[in-house]
Amino acid sequence: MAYLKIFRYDPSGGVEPHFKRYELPPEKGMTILEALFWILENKDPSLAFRCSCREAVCGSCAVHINGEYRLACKTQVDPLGEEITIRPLTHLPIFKDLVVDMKPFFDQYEKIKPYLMPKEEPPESKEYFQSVKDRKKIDSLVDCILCGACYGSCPVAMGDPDYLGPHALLKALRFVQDTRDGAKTERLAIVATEHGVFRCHTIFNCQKVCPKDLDPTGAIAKLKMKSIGFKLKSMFGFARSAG
Amino acid sequence: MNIFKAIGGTYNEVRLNPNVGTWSFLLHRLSGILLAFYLFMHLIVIATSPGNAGAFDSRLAAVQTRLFHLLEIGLVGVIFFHMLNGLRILVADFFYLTRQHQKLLWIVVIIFIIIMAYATAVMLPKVFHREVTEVAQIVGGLR
Amino acid sequence: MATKPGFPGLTSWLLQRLTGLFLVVGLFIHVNVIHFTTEARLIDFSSVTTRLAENPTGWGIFYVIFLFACIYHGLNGIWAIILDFKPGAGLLRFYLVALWLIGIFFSAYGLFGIFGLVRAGA
Repeated sequence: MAYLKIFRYDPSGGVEPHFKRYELPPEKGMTILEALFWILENKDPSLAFRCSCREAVCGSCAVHINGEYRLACKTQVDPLGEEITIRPLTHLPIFKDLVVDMKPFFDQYEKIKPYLMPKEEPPESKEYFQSVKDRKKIDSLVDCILCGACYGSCPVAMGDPDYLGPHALLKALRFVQDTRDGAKTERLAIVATEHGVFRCHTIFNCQKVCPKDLDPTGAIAKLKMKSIGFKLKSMFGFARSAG
Repeated sequence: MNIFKAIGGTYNEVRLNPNVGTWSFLLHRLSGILLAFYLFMHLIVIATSPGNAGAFDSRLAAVQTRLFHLLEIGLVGVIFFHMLNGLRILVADFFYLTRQHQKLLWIVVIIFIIIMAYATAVMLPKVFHREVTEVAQIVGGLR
Repeated sequence: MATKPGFPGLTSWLLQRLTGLFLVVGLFIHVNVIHFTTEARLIDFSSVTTRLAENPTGWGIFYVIFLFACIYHGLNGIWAIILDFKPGAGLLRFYLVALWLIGIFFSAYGLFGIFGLVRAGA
């Protein structure tokens, strides 16, 4: 027999933040998302949570489950033990219960210009070509589903609302490494700031929680090295032109 | 910036992310703050009246009591933890070893234990105002 | 878009690592000399000045670099913590000025001490 302890809060309905305990029916292979639906249908129709695809592709259902940020649809009830505590994502304003306002999260994402900025027109005005080898450079980086687990787990995001966050920085590397992209300098200038890659303290929480097993910490490290390399090169270039 | 909010927020982060990453980050930060304060206290003790032997000696004698010698072992521990964990972060960043950070932490812990074993062996006699050779003789005598 | 972006924060981030690397070497020397000595004798004026007198230039240069590296590493670390909590622009400037003043004061204080002790031994 498992119990779900769910964070409940309704700022507009006058419900103060508290935890409510629900008993779950014994069912093998039940996911947390299914459990939430079961509660919604059988116990408490006022429960609010977000979901869409139910198969770890859309990134809507990231919540804090028993000490770790995870996707509700990708986490089973059984291995988590008797009592399972569910909280909404941290560092984002709460709308209701487990539903948070993702606007700050996506505002950070937009800051890194998450679209291709090619230097020239495509050949024969059709499409941009990319070799298999070049495509491999952005492998796995494109897998990010922007669920917000990393942003919730990042202690830096707690104090600094301007911090770009692991999600935006990982996506920034995805475009920096894309051979079709032509705005590397501009992209590095966006991320290589006090509130960008240099705010990262290499805490590794984002890597730990990522439901897609990506490595935002490593992506940020790569961006740090790329900006240092760029800086050194530009300093060297400056010295040569001056001399 | 509200310092209470900052401390409360940090506590919440540790509570919600009980990972080795968070723990090492927290310890790194606390040891760093401690060492920064120690540095300034240390400078005041050492660099005040450097030409006056009497004043220098009486001030240094005040911080070389048995209690301070015991605290010094802790100080060395804080220094070496901060140093080794700093190297771990640096290595992870510069050599793209972010996936190996847990292994690196165990290496840090092992080196830390070795250094602290040595540090305790050479520093503990000072707490009792004994020489290491004296202690070796006493241990030898017991055998 | 400027051709040479400034990358704010890069210098302090990199210098934190470089001073840190120097402190690894410096602290091994310093801790070895001060704490890992196998003698139980207390550190006093004569022991310090005698040690410095063995190689006044070497120790002098080492301790000056060590002093600056320590102070920069410590204050830059505190600066990083302050930035983590993103104070307002006015408060941020206040902290920056305060850290600079602390740094300058203790640099001068430390230099005064190092030169005094080196000269006392010579």
